[in-house]
Parts: sequence; C-alpha cells; structure tokens
Amino acid sequence: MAQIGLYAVPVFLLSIFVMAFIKNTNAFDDFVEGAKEGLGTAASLLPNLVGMIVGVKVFLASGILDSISAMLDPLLSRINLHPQLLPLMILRPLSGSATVGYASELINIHGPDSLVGRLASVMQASSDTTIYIITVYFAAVGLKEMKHALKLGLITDLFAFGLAIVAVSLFF
Amino acid sequence: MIHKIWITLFLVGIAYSIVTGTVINVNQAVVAGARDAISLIITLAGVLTFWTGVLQVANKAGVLRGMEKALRPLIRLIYPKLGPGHPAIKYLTTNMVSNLFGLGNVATPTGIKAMKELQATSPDPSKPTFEMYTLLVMNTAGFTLIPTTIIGIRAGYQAANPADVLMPILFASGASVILGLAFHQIYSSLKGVTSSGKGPKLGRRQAIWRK
Repeated sequence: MAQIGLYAVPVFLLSIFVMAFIKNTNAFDDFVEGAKEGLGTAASLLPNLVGMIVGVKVFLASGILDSISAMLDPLLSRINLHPQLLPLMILRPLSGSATVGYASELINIHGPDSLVGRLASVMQASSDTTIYIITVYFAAVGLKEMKHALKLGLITDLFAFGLAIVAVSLFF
Repeated sequence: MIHKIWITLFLVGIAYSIVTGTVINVNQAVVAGARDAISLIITLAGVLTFWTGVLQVANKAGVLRGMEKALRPLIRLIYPKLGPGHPAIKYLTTNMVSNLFGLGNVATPTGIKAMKELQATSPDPSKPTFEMYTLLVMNTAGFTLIPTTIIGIRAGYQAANPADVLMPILFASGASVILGLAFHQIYSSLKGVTSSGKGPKLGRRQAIWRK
C-alpha cells in the first residue's frame, strides 16, 4: 500500500512527459509559462501566511490549550472522550505540523494500539488544516470576503471528529 | 469571520500569557512564527512554481483532458452546475486525484488553478461561488486513500499493525465529505450563494470529442 504513495509522483510525472514527447509539444515553453503563474501566486500569499502562522503560534505558545482541556476534563470523561483529545481537535484546523506533533505525542504516551492512540490517528488523518487551506485558496484569487468558508470548513471538521469516534468504536 | 478568528488568536494568546506570566513565550512565538511562515513560503513557492509549470505541460499534452474524461461522472455528481466545457473541470479533477493519492504538493497548485477558473466565470468575482465552497469542503475533509503520515508515525511507535486504522480513516473522512457537502448544499442554497455558471459553450469539435 505504501508503495503506491512512493510511486505516485514519479509515475504521474513520467506519464506527463511521455505524452508531451509523443505529442511533440513545446514542453519547456509550456512549463515556463505555467511556472511564472505559480511564482506570482506564492509571492502574493506571503503576507497572509505570515499573519496567520504568527497568530497561531502566539495562541499555542500561551499554553491556554492545556488549561482548557484540564478545565473540560470532568465534562469530557463523562462522555468517554479522553481530555487530551480536545487540544488535538482544536489544533487540527489551525496547524498541520502542530497536529502531527501532538498526535504522535499522544500515540507515544498511550501506545499506538490504545483507544486514545487510535482515535488520535483517525482524527488526524480524516481532516485537514482548514484555516491554512482557506487562507491559501481564497487569498490566491484575491477574495477578501470569505463569508461561509470558515463555517463550512469547520463544520466538516466537526463531522470528521464525530465520525472518527464512531469509526473507532465500530472497527475495533 | 476569519478576521475575528485571527484577532482572537492574538487577543487570547497574549492576554493569557500575561496573566500566567509566560509572556516570554509570546516574544519567541512572534519570531518563530514569522520565520516558519517564510520557510514555508520558500518551499511552497518552489512547489507551486514547479507544479503549475508541469500542469501546463500536462494540459498542453492532453493528460489533464484524459483524466477529466475518466472521472467525468464523479465530477458531474459533485459539481452539477458546471457545464461540461468549464475550464475549471480539469483542475478540479487533478485536485481530487492528487488528494486521493495524498500528494499535497500537487493538490495545492491544482486547487488554486481551479479557484481561479471558477472565479473567472463567476457573475460577481468579489464573492466566492457555490463551486468554490464545494472545492473547499472537498479539500478540508482530507480524503485520501493512503494516509502515509499517520501510518508512518504508528509504525515508528511499534504498532502491531500500523495500517489497521486505514478503514476507520476512510470511513470517517469519506462520510465527513458527504456530510460536509450535504450541509453546504442546504446552507448555501438558503444563503443564496451563486454558482460559477456553466462556463463557455463547447465548440462543435469538442462537443463531438466529449461524447
């Protein structure tokens, strides 16, 4: 299975270049033309990313997440949800690298085959960094008005977390 | 709403660290965050430049059209309001395929290209369209066939079977896409979000080819 991931990019690239060779297109000119657009997009994203990432870092550095999960401990354990999973759910839409770090720490502490370890695995993998995706996708087309984007993205994340709990109890 | 979230991050973070006396962490976080953002953008710029270039090669060589043809039924189901000749479709297709195979580096450039094409045919380019939100939900759910990162981590901590979470992950992310899209369908219709429209009409030759 992991082999598919390994070969996906090279095979995709190979098929593109084989086709370009067969069709005898001006591949390098096409490449340069397309690449210019990508560079421009990346440059225009810089201010958005600096603003958002510094905000997330400051929020996380204050240590408030630990306090929140400690506070909600009695409430969460009543519904059989380990309190240490709450920071994971808050981190998930904010920061991809922080989530991976936190999830692997949970897996390390509780063990990969524990309930918490499995829940952390499924929650991490079945959703994505919503805030980052919104920032990048909407800023790239110069949209200032994001309107419902955040609501839709975060609700989809909530669905994913709920379904992760269902899935783990269903499959294990 | 993103404005409020952004301000809240700072307000809460700074206020809480002043109260708890961990204000030194905020100083470090500002520097570290700015540095992280720049190093992320350097990687992203390289990746975006390379892949938008390659995508153009693929586009001109007909590879994207081939993928588009193969996945037409699925795209039609998810984006029913787009006409068959809409220029965004080939990027929506490649975005979906790269997400399925966990190729985040390809997903971002294709997603951005699709956004641009969806904006180009929008009746009001200053507002997001129905299809833009759909694309967003498709991406935030992170539906992927092989979640390599988490399997790698689990293997690193000696899981009995690192990939035994595969089915639950497919179930949770697949069902969350469906629920997310259903919610979007209802919510966006209630809010009167406009569609990107059918896009340009097909020429006669293309219309024949697409049959």
